[in-house]
Amino acid sequence: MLITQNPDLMFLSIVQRMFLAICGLLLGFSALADDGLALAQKVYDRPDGRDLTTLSRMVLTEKGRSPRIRELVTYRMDMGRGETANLIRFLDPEDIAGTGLLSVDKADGEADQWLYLPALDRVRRISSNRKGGRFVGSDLYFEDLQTRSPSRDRHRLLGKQTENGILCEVLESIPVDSGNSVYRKRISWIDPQTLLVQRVDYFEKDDGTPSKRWLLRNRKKVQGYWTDTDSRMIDLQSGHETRMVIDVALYDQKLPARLFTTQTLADENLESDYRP
Amino acid sequence: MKILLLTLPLLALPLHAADDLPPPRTTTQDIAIDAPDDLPLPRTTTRKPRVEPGEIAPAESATSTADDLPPPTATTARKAARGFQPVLKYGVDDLLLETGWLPDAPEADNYSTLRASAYVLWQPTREWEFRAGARLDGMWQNGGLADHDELLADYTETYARYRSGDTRLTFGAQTIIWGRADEIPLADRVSRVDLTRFILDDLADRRRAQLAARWEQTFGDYKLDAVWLPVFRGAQLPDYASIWSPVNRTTGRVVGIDPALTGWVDASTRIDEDEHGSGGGALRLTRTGEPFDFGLTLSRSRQSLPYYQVDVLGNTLTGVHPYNTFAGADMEIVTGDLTWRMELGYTDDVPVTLPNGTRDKTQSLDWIGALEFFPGGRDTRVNLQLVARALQNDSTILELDEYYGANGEIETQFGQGRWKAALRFAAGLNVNDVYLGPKVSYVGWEPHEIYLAGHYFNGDDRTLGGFHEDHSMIALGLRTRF
Repeated sequence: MLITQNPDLMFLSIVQRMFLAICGLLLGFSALADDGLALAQKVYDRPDGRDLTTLSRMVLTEKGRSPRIRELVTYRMDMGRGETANLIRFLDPEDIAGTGLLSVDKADGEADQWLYLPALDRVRRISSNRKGGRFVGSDLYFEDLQTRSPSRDRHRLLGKQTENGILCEVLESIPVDSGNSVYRKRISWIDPQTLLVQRVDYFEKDDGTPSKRWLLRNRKKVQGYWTDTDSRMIDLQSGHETRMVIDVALYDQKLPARLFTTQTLADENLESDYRP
Repeated sequence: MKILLLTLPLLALPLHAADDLPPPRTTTQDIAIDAPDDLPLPRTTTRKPRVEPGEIAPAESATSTADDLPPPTATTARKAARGFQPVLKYGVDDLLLETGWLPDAPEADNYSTLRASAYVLWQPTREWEFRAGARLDGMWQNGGLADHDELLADYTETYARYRSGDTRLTFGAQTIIWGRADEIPLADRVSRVDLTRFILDDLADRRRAQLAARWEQTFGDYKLDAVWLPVFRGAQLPDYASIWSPVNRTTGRVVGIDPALTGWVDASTRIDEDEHGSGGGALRLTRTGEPFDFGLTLSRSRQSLPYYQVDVLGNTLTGVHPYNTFAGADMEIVTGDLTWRMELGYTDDVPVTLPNGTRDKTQSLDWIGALEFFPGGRDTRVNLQLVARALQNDSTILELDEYYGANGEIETQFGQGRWKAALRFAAGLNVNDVYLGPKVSYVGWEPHEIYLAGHYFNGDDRTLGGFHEDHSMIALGLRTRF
């Protein structure tokens, strides 16, 4: 009662309450952000083997048109010091068969990339900054193929929601530097048990309407590692869809570092011992 | 009350995160979510491994994650790579059917092309690989002063190859294209040029296999490439009646030489080729890795493009291919969104023609600077190149002694990658020399390509654009492989 009668004390009380409220707000945001970053880090750190070899099919679907199917073999290896090397080789259709892409992703988020063109029998160094380019005409951008370090985004937990029949944590991720992503925002639905992402909405033009959606169709535990064996990326404006099916996944095959060189990129026979 | 009004919004703020949850997904949002799982099994071509029935994953290992999802597709329970498998494969690696309309050419109104090549490849062991290939080229030109058709048969890559560790040896007919720049790489010293369609095709299709012995040795980031050409073969030229011939007997012109001096060339002019002997050899050392890729090339070889030695009295042109020495360096670097490529070369014994018609030789300095980028990081590729050539001659010659130009390509795709549009271009900077090559392709019917292309030439007398300025063409074509 006294407090309300004394203007100074009353002001102090308002300030104290506001301070407490702001602290609560900041702590709330901070907690959500910390939890978000922690979850993103857990997903990033989910065990996925020292190396991985896959035999996959990429199916490009448009309503009213026959699907186009690309077959490819991929190799991934953790090179240490935060570096990851990837080699992708197309097997079919014939017009792109033999084409290869070698990418060495650095710890700082940069990457060295080389493209092998069989017609010219030539390896070309290319810029890895082509993040918004469509990968072989699919709905996948080059950025979608790269592993994104959690530190490159601000993360926030939005709550829980059921996706694919699983109660998932919903995580919002916004690039710290808008220049290093074609997306303004990503929202991911993450299974807290397996740490597998079940769905991702991608926001390119505005924060309110997703332009693309990635959905997990099927998963499988291979050699003890959870693996996305069937997924699809949907262009929500056009309805185009790119489905990615992994037919064979092999972990920890002791892939040699020399597999991730331009020498192997230019001679697919050097991969023959490691093909699934 | 005021306190309550002030604090409520603040206390409510942390709850906004929960309010930001997107609405639950409905199947109508995802166009094909209920589509049946009609994905076929992997194709069982000889290129790739087969999924064997016995390897279908056991049901307990697959986990369906939602009721509306179809069962998993074929997955295998294989735990290790297959290891090396012998390979026998064959196919048609190129089939081109094209018909073109020539609105300005006095020689013909139409020019049509058939090109087909087939191959068989056998790799019985990890070390050995054998390949044989053949091609057929048909050209039809009609509706003008020089109706003509021809059919050519030739081998394509036909070799025996041995691999062991970091060594690769190849003996036989091969196509070896060195260099970093597109269109006219300076380090391209051991390939055989195909001029049957002039520059209508991309670089890879403007080269042919020729006999060579090749040793490739890798040392970490370095690679040494040594090539010897035991038997020389000049460029594959079109028949001299063809509109793409470097000697036009209808108009009395020879490419690269002022037409005022070649008026004596006519249908009776004899044209010989001097191809005897070997082609020489070359070495190329390249390094790939940080901070940039580079290459050094040294060659003593004969170039497949002919130099025409003039014998006015004998009414004869003789295509000769003198040896010359080339030393070059090239590099490739990425900075941000840009890929830079550069080549620098010195060539000696370059044949040139003195005003009296006799042959002389001089040195040449050449430079190419290229810049490649994807505007906005999207699907359009732009490659721009500047080229410079300076002949180090003291006396007057009939050829251009300096040439500065720009060329390149802009290409994009649209319609979910089913359509492509491209523009190849070249322009002289110190002379009028223009080539424009727009092309629209439908590539949605894989692996086939149906295209409509234009080729526009214009230029001064001694330039390529000037030589072919009556041969601008609109073409409709189909290209495939299977």
